[in-house]
Amino acid sequence: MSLLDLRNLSVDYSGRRALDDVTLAILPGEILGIVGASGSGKSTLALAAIGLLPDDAVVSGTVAFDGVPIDTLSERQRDARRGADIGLIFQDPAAALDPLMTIGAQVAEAIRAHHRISRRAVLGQAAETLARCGLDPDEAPPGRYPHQLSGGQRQRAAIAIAIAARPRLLIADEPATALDAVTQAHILALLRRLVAEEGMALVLISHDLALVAGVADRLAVMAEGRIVEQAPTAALLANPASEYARTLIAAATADIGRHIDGDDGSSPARGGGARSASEGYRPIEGATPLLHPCGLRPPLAGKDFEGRSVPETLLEADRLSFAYPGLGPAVSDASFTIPRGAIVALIGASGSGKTSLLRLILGLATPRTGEVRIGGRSLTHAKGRSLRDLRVQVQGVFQHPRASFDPRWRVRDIIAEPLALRDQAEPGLIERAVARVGLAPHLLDRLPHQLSGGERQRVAIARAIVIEPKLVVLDEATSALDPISHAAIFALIARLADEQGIAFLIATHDLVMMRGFADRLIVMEAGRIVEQGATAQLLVDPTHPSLRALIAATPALAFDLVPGAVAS
Amino acid sequence: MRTGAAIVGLLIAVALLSLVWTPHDPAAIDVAVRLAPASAAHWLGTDQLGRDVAAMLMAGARVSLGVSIAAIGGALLIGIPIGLLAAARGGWTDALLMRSADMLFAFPALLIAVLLAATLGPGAGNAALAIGLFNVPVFARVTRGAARSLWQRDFIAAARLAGRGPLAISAAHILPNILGTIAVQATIQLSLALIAEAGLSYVGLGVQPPAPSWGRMLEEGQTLLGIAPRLAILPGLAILIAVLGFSLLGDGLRDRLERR
Repeated sequence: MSLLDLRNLSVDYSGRRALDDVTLAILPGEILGIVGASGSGKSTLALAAIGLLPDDAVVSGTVAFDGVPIDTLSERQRDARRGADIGLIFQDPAAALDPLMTIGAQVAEAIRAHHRISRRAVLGQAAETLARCGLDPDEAPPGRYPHQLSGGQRQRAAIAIAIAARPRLLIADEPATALDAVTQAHILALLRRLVAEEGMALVLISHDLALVAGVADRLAVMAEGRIVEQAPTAALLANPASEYARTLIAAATADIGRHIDGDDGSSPARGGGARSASEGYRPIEGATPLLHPCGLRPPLAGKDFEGRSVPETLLEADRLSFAYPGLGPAVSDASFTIPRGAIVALIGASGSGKTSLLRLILGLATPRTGEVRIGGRSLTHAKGRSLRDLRVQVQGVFQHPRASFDPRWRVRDIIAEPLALRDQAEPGLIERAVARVGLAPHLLDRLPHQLSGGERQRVAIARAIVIEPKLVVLDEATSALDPISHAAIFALIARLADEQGIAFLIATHDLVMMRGFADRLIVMEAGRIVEQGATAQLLVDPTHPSLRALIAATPALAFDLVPGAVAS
Repeated sequence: MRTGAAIVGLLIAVALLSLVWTPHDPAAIDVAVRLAPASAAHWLGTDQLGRDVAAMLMAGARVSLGVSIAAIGGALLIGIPIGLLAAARGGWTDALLMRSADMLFAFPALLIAVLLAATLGPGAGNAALAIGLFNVPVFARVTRGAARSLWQRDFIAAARLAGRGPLAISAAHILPNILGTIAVQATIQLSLALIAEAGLSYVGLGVQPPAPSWGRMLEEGQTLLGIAPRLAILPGLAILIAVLGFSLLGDGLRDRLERR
């Protein structure tokens, strides 16, 4: 008998259909992956499954847990089921944890909510649960508060709370999205181990097909509130029946620079690090337009990033150091250059200092030592008129596009804001920028909250290029997007670099994407640049352990990087 | 929210109406009908000098609301720029401005107002000045706090990349986004100012006779509490309803703004 059974479930929010006639069953001990773009109804499905939909939701159809329809239960009985039978893990562990309680106390609270157990015994059990979730008592003891933990540790603590009462079903909504690649792999491995140990069923919800496919037994693909397709993982990847699933798979595999081999049933998108190197390297066939046959963008005319001739330098970072007051150094002694028209990727785990370094490059923060030079002129010491002249050359795209827009401004005004840097703006610049990023002109009169995630990102890029700068700096600019929008944004960046000669500095933890995309890599760890050089060369021959670890944690790359596999 | 807005709207309407029409002249003394109970001629009766209580309450609304609104309006005009400046500059400018605000806060507000009104001399203008003075740091603080958190946001960083200076950013991005917070605080401060005005009038430092005011009506009425309790109860009720109206309006505004 199925553990959770959704039948003809539809949910409407004030006339807008969020779920449309969804029928889905989860068997005990099974891992079900739910994949879909942002806004496809994934989270609504999760909330409906545990009876936590907001009051204004109009629900039809049935949700049954263990054969009992949950709408026949009282609110109290439902509360008892949550946690005891069903555990929940959210994308943002910081929001799921109480900042004023130690993690041990929070796990203990979750246990005591559902089991009669003495105060003393529960603390021991809480400590054990935390340890089982990979929180080493020496590194992160139960007495820690959430703010004393790293992002990955926080998610582990949130998982410990979710499994504290030993539920039979765990629902994880984008559990690893906010984390870097290495931590992401660890969290998924942990979930898989816990599910096996406890015999729990797991519903893993994500926009990232590659990530889910590596873990799930069965996949359900969602679009516009409906389940367009569900099938065992291998079968769905090999023979997607719906057009939408095919697009999703294509987008996920475009990321890793090759298209799917329909005949062998295994997908390169399969994550989890399980792929062995013995499968060898397959050359790219029919590669997406995004990628050059050798996996690298063609070198710019007359330029060569392999070090044989030095291209013209656009920006120089000279021994930059930066620290937040009261904290350790965020950036130490960072030096690098960005050639004109180059795409440079800044790679590093979360907390490695990428964002701080970008703020220094943008002149939003002042370095403690060192300076940033643009075309030989110091940005760091520029003021007034000359600062404005330098700002025209470097613009930025922030990590969360929505947060980087004034919520009260319309799109047209948002995009136009940097035009103030020019003494006299030519007419039509806004229209040109909007056309370049592929934004529909009617969106110009919208407010930021009326746009989709992909549209917002395009607005942010349009704002960055409207004054036609020479360098655009992007901070994790696509991490929140679904794979289709994600690939489209990168295609756009590649086009802007090639056609407009704009240089890009892209901070990311997505090595896979950068492999076929960036001309140079800069690898950061703990505020230091530990490695930099031409992408092809670095990926084949990484010297620093940090980059090795990152490559090992990135499934598609580990598979790729049999020594000598990539022509350099 | 609706109730609050209705009460405040009604009070303002009554105050405006009293400029052109009251049932009787609120200052007209007619000893022949003193202490008359409510009747068709005198809706709420008359006081110990035969003045019409309804007319006095209407005219009193004008004084109470006028002084409160003038005081809060002035405090807004001075407090908001101080708060914006402190948030935009940070560093020692911020420290200096906020420590000065703390110093003003350290004194009991009503005591300062009494002291000021006593030194400057009683009167509506000076009452408004005294009440406005201790509201300046309130708005400076609220503005500065809300603005500081906005300054950390990415869209401010984007505006800096667009070459805007602190002044332009404060005007174009900061102020429009914190107006809601300030409006909520303003309604709460209005209700406090109303009480402060009544208090000043009660001790004789507010508007001077013959102009009526709720605070002084309360003071005059209390001596006759045994004979005609309504003379104290009615102005007290007026103060209560006005304060309630502003408080409800403030609460409603806050709920509505926070839900977004």
